[in-house]
Amino acid sequence: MKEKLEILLLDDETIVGNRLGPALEKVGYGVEVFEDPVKALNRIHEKEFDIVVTDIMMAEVNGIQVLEEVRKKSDTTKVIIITGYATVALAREAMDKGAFDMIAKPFKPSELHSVITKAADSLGYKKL
Amino acid sequence: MSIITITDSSYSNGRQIAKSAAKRLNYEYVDSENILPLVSKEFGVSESKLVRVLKDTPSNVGMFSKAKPEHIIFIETLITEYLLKNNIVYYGVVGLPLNQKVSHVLKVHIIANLESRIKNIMKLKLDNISQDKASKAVTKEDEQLKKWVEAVYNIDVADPNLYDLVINIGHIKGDDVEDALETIISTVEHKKYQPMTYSLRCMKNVAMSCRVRAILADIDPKMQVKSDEGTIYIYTKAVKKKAQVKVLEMKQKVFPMDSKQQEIYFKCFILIFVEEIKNERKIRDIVTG
Repeated sequence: MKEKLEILLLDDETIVGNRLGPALEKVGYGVEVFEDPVKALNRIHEKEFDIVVTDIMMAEVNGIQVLEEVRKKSDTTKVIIITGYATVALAREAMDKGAFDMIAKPFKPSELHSVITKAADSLGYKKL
Repeated sequence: MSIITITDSSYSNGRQIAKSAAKRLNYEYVDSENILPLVSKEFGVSESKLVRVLKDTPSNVGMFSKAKPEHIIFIETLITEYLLKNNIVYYGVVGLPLNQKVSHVLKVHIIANLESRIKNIMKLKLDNISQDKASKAVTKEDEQLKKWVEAVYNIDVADPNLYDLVINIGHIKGDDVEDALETIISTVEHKKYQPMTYSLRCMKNVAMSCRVRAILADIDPKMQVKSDEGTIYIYTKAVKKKAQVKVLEMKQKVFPMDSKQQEIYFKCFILIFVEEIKNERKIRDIVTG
């Protein structure tokens, strides 16, 4: 089993990656931050991440498409949706397509950390 | 870990289906009647008054004949706080529109054909009721429920848009009820009805709005309250002279919540919007806490 949990963080708002990336690295995760969903998808095809955290509303590729791509590549990667446009329909679609969890923006880094910890537990990682 | 809410047209066996679903899923069963002793204890309102508010049809002006509108708020508060626990099957119309925005609540409406419902009521009534009287009783109860829901929530209880599943069990026979049960169970087990951080927060927002409405019900039972992750928006009306007094009174009542409520809910930040009744100038008062 790998020592470090590998996370891909995708959000087209620079501030989200700037804030969450270092916060997650600080608690011991390996984090790759992307603002461009196309580049993120390329990286997902290259490397199997333990967890993908993705925004929904992005130009070119949306978060649901990212979720679908991750699901095609891996059954084990956990996908966490973060969105400022949460609705019942979106929540159900995301869960239906295999998301691990969904968090509505704005949220505190500690809330994301808590969800990541749950995802890590389900993957069999020890708590960080 | 989900929640199922079940409503029905009269004598369509919705309660029986709700109880059976709870048993099969090992969920807790609750309805708007068996929660009344708890409501009575917490809010100091007699159970008989609470029963009346569920049975009486509100008059044209939206007022109840004997009980008070705030009693509905009290019942909604305990029901929504109950639903926070998850793994619940709730039968009843109280709070029907409140859970519309919670994705892990499976909303079910049961209907059956009139012939079966008439037979059902004839079976249930101890005195030998004629078919004609039974038919009238079914129609009357449907109308009462429709009027009650319209008066309290301004919605049509039979509107299919309110539900995830509308099940017509046709004839009320063992097989039909069993089929309905299977449909409900297989649906709620679907991934999309599983709770997530977002939907759990939505449920908490609903319950917190109800709790604040209950705390302030004696000041204004018609006020609108919306909770958004601990920010509580209160919309009320007052005559100009009394607006500031009303805001102050509200602040004092909402803070502090008791320790049990603080454990359940977010830390509060409250925005009170008072619409002055005479000139409709809005006063905005911000309170932090």
